[in-house]
Amino acid sequence: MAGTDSASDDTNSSLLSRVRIREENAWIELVNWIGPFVMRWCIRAGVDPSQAEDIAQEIFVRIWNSMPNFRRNEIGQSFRGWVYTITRNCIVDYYRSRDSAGPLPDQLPDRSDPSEADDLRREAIQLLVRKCVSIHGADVGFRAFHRTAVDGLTSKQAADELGLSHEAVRKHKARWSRRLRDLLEERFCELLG
Amino acid sequence: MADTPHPGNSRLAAYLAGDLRVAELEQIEDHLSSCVNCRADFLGLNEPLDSFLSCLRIEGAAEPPMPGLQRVLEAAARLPVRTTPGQVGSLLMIAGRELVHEIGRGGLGVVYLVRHPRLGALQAVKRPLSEDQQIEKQVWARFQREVRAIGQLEHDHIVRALDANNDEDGPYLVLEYLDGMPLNKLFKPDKGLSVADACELVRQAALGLQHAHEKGLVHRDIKPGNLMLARRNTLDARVVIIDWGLARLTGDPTPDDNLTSIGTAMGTPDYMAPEQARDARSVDIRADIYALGVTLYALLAGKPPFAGMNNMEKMVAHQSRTFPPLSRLDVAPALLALIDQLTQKDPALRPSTPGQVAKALAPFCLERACLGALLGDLVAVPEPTTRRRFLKFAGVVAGGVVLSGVSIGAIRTLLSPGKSTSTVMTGPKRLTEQHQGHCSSIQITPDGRRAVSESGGRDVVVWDLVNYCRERTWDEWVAPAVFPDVSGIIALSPDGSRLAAGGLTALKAIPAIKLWNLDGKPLNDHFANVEYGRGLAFSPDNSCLAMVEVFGRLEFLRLIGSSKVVVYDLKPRRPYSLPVNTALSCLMFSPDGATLAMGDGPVLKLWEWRTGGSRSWVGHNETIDAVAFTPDGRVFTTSLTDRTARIWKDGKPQTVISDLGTNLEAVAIAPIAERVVVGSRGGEVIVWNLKNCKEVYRHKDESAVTAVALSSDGRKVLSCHIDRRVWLHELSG
Repeated sequence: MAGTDSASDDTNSSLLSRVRIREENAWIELVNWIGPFVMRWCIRAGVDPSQAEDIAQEIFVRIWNSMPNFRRNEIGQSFRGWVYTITRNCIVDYYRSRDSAGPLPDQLPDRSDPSEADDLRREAIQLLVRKCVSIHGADVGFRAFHRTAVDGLTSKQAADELGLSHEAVRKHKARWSRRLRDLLEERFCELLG
Repeated sequence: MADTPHPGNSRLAAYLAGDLRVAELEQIEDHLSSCVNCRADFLGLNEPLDSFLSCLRIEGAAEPPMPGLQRVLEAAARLPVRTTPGQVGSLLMIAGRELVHEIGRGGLGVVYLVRHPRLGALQAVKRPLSEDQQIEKQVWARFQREVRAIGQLEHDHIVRALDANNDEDGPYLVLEYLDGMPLNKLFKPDKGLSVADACELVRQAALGLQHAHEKGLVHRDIKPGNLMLARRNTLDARVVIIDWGLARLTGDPTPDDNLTSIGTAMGTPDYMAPEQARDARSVDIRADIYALGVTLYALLAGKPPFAGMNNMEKMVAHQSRTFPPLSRLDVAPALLALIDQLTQKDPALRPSTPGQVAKALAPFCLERACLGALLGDLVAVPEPTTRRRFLKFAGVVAGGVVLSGVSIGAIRTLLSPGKSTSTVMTGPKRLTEQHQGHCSSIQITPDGRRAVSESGGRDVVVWDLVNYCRERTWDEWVAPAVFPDVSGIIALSPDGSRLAAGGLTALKAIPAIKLWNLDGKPLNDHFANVEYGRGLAFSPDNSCLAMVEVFGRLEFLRLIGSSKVVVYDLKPRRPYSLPVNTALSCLMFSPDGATLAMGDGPVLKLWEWRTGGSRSWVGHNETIDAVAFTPDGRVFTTSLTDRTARIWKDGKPQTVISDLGTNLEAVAIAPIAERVVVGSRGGEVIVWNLKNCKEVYRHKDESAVTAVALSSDGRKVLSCHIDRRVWLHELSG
């Protein structure tokens, strides 16, 4: 079956464990994943956009420094909650350390919005799909999956386009959906929720 | 009929959504293969859309772009190479400042990165620290010495002291924070730096030492590990002398007894002047000059002269032995003579001040040094060991640089052909940052100031050749590299304003050519069903784009079908096409734009594309890989497989060069300069002059060449290597 060999890709290893051992690519992936959320939190907290950039940089320094210590179970909070706490602390510290920066923004909730767990999950899934495109983009099975599950074609349309049987497209779609679910679990296991 | 029970529609739906374990999934597939009814049910199911699958759909309006997000992501992505692992930032205060993290800890002390609570500035705090009672006194004496010395100094190339005080935890010294790396971390063992970089680094150190000399101070522990290359900004960096713990005022009668038994003795044996090993109290600035000379040697050789010996042997060797000759051919005799002079055993034979050394080094340095690029290089230089936390860092601890003794690299350099280096002004320069994938296509802009490349279709990069760094990256293409025999491609418009790049579209993985503005955003213009092999060219007036279109389908990862060369008039988009052999390999417009030349296998085809006529010229034995017109209407071609370069006149080939090189992989032609460059899988970059058929330049790297580019004046060569690095070779006229 197409796509079941994974000798050359690293999609199935835990991102967190790779960041903990300071693997640069894993860190970059993590940054690209949570970066937009961190920036959004800063802006939502009422931080001036020109200062949000400075604060966000500082937040990533702290995340980088503390990442090896993050344990979901010990701290009893989600990765999202942990990053949010760092973000919040950074914003508070920033306003405390600079008298001229004005008063503390008043929209600083203690916790992040729970609905963002879904947004992060969606973002993680899409990140994973993009990664798979780069590795398996030529795999006809993966294309069958992509055209149907991502691009929204019906199996029949995809079958015609790719020169496959209707049944084959559906099988590929089933297989790849399963595979992506597994990859998501393995790669983001401690980071979602 | 199948043996297994019918799964029923709900399980079939779960199967289709990928929501079953693999074992169950296989069961159902087995069943489907034998049960006609269930197969019909399965094919009749509606497309499922559970929460997982709905996440795959990209829908809804995009969020408004967040200003600065890209910069934040880029800065954060650089963190792994810009920080050392340390403790978590917290409210812990060190010397009245907020602790960011620990930078380094060693036998003599600890250095912290801190933030000033009011100024917000990053600083470094150094504290003497000794768990060993025996040497505690020495550690303190050394610390006091450093505080006294550094307080007298104020220079761009000497680390600045900002404060020195005592608190409940003992004495501390606050230093400016240096964002960078000690010089011993800038090169790999046995692989030295470029001559110009090494000279500039040592020249700046000499300037700092000259200031210390004027204040009557001798450092006594000059070595790469005590010279920090600190970032000024992304491009620029300066050398800063750190660790003044062994410094001494000339003529100061205070004995050094307290310092002598610290593990490092008085200085570091690898770099220690002979007279310092005999009597450290009596040395003057010329001992530092000796150490500077050894440092320069080490930066060029990739290791100090007596690496591999034990400390006692090293000290003896510095007393009596000459240095092993530098095994590289790009070091000018005058520079060798200077190193020799700096490292004379008799201090009286050395230059008498560091200022003189700086002056003597200046001619070997580049006028516009770009030392920041060296720090950027760290992205690519892996740590020799993963045990980073044990690195003795920031000059707290002295100690020899640990380098391997076997000099395979040096031998290789010695054996590599180095002829015809006369036209080279300096060695090739490594561009900061590297490709994401293997670059198979690169071009230099007409003004020679920039270049564009693609890397395995993963991204398109614009390079700044003036500052030797990456200018920008577009990463909307993904992975055509997964096709085994098709690589990415780019073409620059002759005016240098536009770029066409081939790759797979990000979302649907369809092969396509996309257009970009070199200075701005992508132009929303793309051409699908394109074979992005090698043929892509703009017409001289920028109005037309020629490419290869394929009609067929993907099978076993190969495109099966027929090819056409198509010239698109970009406005209006009107195609002109010509069927060709599928082995088409290169495209080029004639200077008047009327003719399109192409390598159709070994045949050179000339197509008058507006009028429809075409001619075929035969001469090459193998596929033509590059073609170019001269202004006077001649045609140059090269084939990497038959290894020849030819000039065509009136349809007749004339072999110019019969052996361009072996194992060739990449080629580029500069028709006006009449030069051609080839790159080989053996790592060679060779430039030929087509006028006199002479080799102009040859350089050998360890890494195979994947793409080359030549500027239109023939003076700049870019080579991309399989290790994803890019080198700029600058030749004289």
